[in-house]
Amino acid sequence: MGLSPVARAGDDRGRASRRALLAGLAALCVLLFALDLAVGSVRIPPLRIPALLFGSSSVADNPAWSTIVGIFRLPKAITALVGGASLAVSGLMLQTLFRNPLAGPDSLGIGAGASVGAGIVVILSGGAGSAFLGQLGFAGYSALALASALGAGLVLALILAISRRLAGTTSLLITGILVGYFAGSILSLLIFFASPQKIQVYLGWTYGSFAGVTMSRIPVLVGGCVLGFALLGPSPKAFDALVLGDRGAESIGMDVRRVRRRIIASAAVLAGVVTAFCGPIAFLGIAAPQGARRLFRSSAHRVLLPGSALLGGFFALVADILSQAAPGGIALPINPLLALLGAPIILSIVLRSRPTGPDS
Amino acid sequence: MTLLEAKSLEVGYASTGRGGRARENRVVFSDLDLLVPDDRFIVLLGPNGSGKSTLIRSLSGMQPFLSGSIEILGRPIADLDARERALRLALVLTERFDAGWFDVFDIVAFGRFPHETFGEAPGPEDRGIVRESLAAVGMADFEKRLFAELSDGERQKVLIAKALAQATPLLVLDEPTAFLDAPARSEVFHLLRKQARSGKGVLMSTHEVDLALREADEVWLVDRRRGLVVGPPEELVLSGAIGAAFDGPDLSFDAMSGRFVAPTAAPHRSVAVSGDDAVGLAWTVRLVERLGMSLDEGPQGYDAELRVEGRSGSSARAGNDAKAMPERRFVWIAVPGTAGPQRRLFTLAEVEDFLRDVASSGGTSSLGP
Repeated sequence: MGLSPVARAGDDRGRASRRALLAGLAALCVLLFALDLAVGSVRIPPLRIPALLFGSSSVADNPAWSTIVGIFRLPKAITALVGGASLAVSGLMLQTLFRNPLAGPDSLGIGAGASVGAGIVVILSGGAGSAFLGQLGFAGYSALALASALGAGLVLALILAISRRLAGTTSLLITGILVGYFAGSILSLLIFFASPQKIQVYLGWTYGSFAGVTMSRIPVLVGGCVLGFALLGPSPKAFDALVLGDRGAESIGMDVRRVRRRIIASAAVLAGVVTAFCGPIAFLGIAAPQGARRLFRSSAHRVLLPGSALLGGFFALVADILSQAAPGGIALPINPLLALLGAPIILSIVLRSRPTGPDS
Repeated sequence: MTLLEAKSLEVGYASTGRGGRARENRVVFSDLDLLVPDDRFIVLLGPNGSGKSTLIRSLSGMQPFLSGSIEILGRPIADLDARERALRLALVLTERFDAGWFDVFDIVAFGRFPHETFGEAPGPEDRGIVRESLAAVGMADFEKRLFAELSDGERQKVLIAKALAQATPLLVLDEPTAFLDAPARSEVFHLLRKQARSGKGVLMSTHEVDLALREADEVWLVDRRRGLVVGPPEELVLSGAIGAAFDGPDLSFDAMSGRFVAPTAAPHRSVAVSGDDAVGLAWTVRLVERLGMSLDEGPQGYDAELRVEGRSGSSARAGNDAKAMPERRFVWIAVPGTAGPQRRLFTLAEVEDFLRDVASSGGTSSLGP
């Protein structure tokens, strides 16, 4: 049987335009990355950024620039890009797992679980002078990331167990909120026994920041996130099949339990590691995958995984750039910015797509 | 060839034994010996809530069974992993799902997942099979439509196409007609019979008695008292098994017409209906039955006689404004013991008015205007 030429052309056009969209988004992320290095209390001409990065800085350059970029801004920009991408992918996979467009690291209480894990490490390691994200060594930071991922994974496993007994969106979200409160209370108790300085730093941490990661800790963050992505495995089509429901996916030969385990492990590591380093970043994990679905008009994970990751990095970089834009060199907190900027953008995307179209 | 065979099968739900209570399995069916050969359309028929889905899920490996054995193409079902099972048995489930941005082609292509030719995306061979499957259910033009935007009937056909694309010898469907309107239900039955004729073994569950009796090669009838009764549909009607399984206080199965009828309410009037306009006759009979009147002669003879003689010429040519012109037929209407029969054009509505008069007045009706 012959393939209809019209349909084939349509396929190719759709695939080509998606590829172009991905490439455009990637290019945009590169530009924003450079811009993120340029803005701040000391403004550096964006055109000097490539030279500063790739080491061919001429004598005419301000020597302070390479220090500012290398020590402060580069790790911050890397953190924003990687953290944004990781939260977006974590959110995407949770939405796939729960077949629920409102699932995400923060709405399911997973961010809170990660915070508890991180909080316990800080309290236990709590030498009198050590601030929440202050003077931990490489090992300490790895422990922090691990504890955070464990906390996230524990909450995720609990919610998954409950969600099998209670079907439906509402009960799942209520469960997430309750688990979030529970984790939050443990955190409050931890904070209650912490010193005032720690409380101060903790409150700063809850605003979310990409600036707390120094260059020496970048390998832990990036390594953790790469591990999270790698846990997803090589075959995104397995995630597509989950749209049919657990039994539906099994009926076409998927090992649903294995796929589910992979998703839980990956989402927990990604959300846990990023939360440990950047604080509980809200909104990105839900909004970026939603935006990617509408932007790419696709539910296929081979499109959505790179699409969400790029869109997550994009949102995080924009938020970080805008956080530097306040007068007087004060960096604004990331979390409120993300919500203030992103919510209207997503809302407009949602409103512009067909009202009869799919919700997720 | 035997595609699926169950021996001494017991299905149901194993007790979780919680709270220190005695462990007792909830058995839905026991002692089942079932066979699905190729080239056979088998319908699992039973009232809602009679355990059809439990049996379907057990036979297709979606739910553990309590005891006995199930073999698919000669291999115990427990020995097959999900992929091996998916290459032998395609399943159409009732559960509804949100397909997001997946279009009809994507959904049918899911049926190609277990096959080697499908890597991360459908290959040329897969694409060909997907399109053939869509054509087989009459949905070839819907390829690019979003699945989420289809009607219930269209969705069901696409899901059947997905199962066909799986290219398995066995096709199992759980209540595929549940959400469909009457024409779509018939269409699904025809489609599945055609698949059986092309060599597949098809097993579907339904509570549609009429269609099952007309289309199935074999019926597995769920009877609450006797378990599962297996046989050709005609035999199950003649043996009274269908009636035993479905009769309720308000409705009983009429073996003659193959339909469910309500017991006639007194007062009993009888109407003789005859004629040579077969279609007109058939629907006049339906009208008499609907009014609760009998077609059999009563102790005092008939209370009224109808003879349906065919359509008027005028209504035959008024095809394009059929709405404005109700169907009229030449009907002889006679009431014994009154003036001679009247023959003129009646609409069935007028005949109904007449019959209602007969029913209420005890056979001494006037013929109206």
